Amino acid sequence: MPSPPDAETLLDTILEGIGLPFYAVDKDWRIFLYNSAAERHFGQPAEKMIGTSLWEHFPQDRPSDRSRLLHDAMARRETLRGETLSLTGRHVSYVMFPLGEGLGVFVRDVTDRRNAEKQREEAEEALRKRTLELEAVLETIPTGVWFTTDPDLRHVVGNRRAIELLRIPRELDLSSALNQPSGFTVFRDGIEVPPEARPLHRAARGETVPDVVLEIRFDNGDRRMLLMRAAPLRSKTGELQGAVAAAADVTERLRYEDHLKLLLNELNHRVKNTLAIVQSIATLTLKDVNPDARATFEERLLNLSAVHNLLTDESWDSTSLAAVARTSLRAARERVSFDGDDLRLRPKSAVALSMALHELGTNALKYGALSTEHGRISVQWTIDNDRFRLRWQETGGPPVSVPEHRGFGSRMIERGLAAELQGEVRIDWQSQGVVCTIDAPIEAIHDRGSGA
Amino acid sequence: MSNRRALVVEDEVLVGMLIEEMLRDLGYEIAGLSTHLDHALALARTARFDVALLDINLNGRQSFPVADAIRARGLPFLFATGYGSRIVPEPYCNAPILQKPFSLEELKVALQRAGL
Repeated sequence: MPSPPDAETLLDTILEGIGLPFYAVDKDWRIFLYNSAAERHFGQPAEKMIGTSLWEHFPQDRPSDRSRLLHDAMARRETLRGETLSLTGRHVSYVMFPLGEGLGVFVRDVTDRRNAEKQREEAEEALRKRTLELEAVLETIPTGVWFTTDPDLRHVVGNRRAIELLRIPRELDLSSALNQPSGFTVFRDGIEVPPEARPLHRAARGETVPDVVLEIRFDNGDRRMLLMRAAPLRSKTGELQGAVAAAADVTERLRYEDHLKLLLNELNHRVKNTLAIVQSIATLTLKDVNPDARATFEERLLNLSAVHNLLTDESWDSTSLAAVARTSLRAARERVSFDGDDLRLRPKSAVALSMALHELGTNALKYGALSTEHGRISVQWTIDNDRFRLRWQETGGPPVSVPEHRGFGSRMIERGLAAELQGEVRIDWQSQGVVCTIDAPIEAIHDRGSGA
Repeated sequence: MSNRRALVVEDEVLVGMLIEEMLRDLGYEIAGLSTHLDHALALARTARFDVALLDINLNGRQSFPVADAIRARGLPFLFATGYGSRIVPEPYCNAPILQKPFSLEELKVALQRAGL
């Protein structure tokens, strides 16, 4: 059996082997043990420390927890453990114990661990704050929100509004309420939508569900309209992690829109009725007095009514130039050629242009190209440099001469239309056929809001 | 051969008078002009006519019961309305619809479509 090492070697080996900073002082604070871990911890070599007073290196008058602790341990002659800010300004855990008449001190630098802990606490606190903010938002917004973390909706959470919207009883959890709905059924365009085809279910399977209006029919007969959206939740790597769905109650909005449609429809009905009454008065007044005037007036009125119909079909937002041109010239449609990219007209421009084209068409039928068998009309328009240019050209009709008297029709075209379009309108009575040109700024006639 | 007879149901008298004029121009005799639903119903059941022209809205009431009574007699009818064709429900959607105001030509075409 080998002989044990001598006590000094044994002590050195233990002190080095422990690997923690260790030093020992006598009753006068003179350092007599100081291992290499302590060298690294204090940044001072053992030769410089051994035999010197601890307070030479760390002035005693410096008020610190550590110095108070050391004096306390020295005075009380008992073992103290804890954590403190060290003499070097680092966070350490320590063990101080009586050693002879002095003290032995182990320290362990825990600054990095403490910093990590502090960072984690701060992060947790920030997350807690974010979560509270988000919850406050979720509880405040008038939108129902549901979250799920699995494709079968076994776990579902929702905000208060979500529960209110579906009138889910307090005792029922959201997962059951969505998977085996009771108390309501869901319809889309009058067709029942089973649970698995609803937005949150679809999104939980990976589908993004754009705006969809669903009707919720409650068992007591109430009906609410919900505008819903849903989207899958995915991890950074694209893995499906659940889904979120949101719903807003649009019942009142849709009801209001229906009401507006009804009002508009009613207004249109009255306008048409009034036009019919005006037609009757004029026709019955002029029938035997001036049949030509009666016919001209009636045609103008019916044309106005026809362009009103076009505008009514589009809720008086705007209408298509091609449709206006075809409608206004419907009496001679097969002998008129149209050429130009369609564009959306403002309602007032549509009416003015329609009345003008109607006058040109009537004139062509009576005296111009359409008064003969082979005459034709070409209507071409272009949009270039923000100018709208339209050219009406008659060909194949009888020779044209400049009329001696400008009737209401030509005045309506040259003055009325020009003023409405803020442009120039010219009728050129060329002998081979009437030419009418319109040149107007595009913004005066074009409704950009509807595109095209 | 005697002229064909037309029943006119129209709550706006002036418009009704114009329709009468137009029908006369097309060679019809007027079997009656009614401006109220109840009166129109009575005429639809008893008057002697070959075709009826029905305004859909009679002072806020719809004229479809009149259409039913005329159909029960196997007679043709057409609608005149300022509401657009969408207002006419399924059972009547085969009947010609005139959009008010309409021309003599449009009335003539509609009567032809009604089989006259």
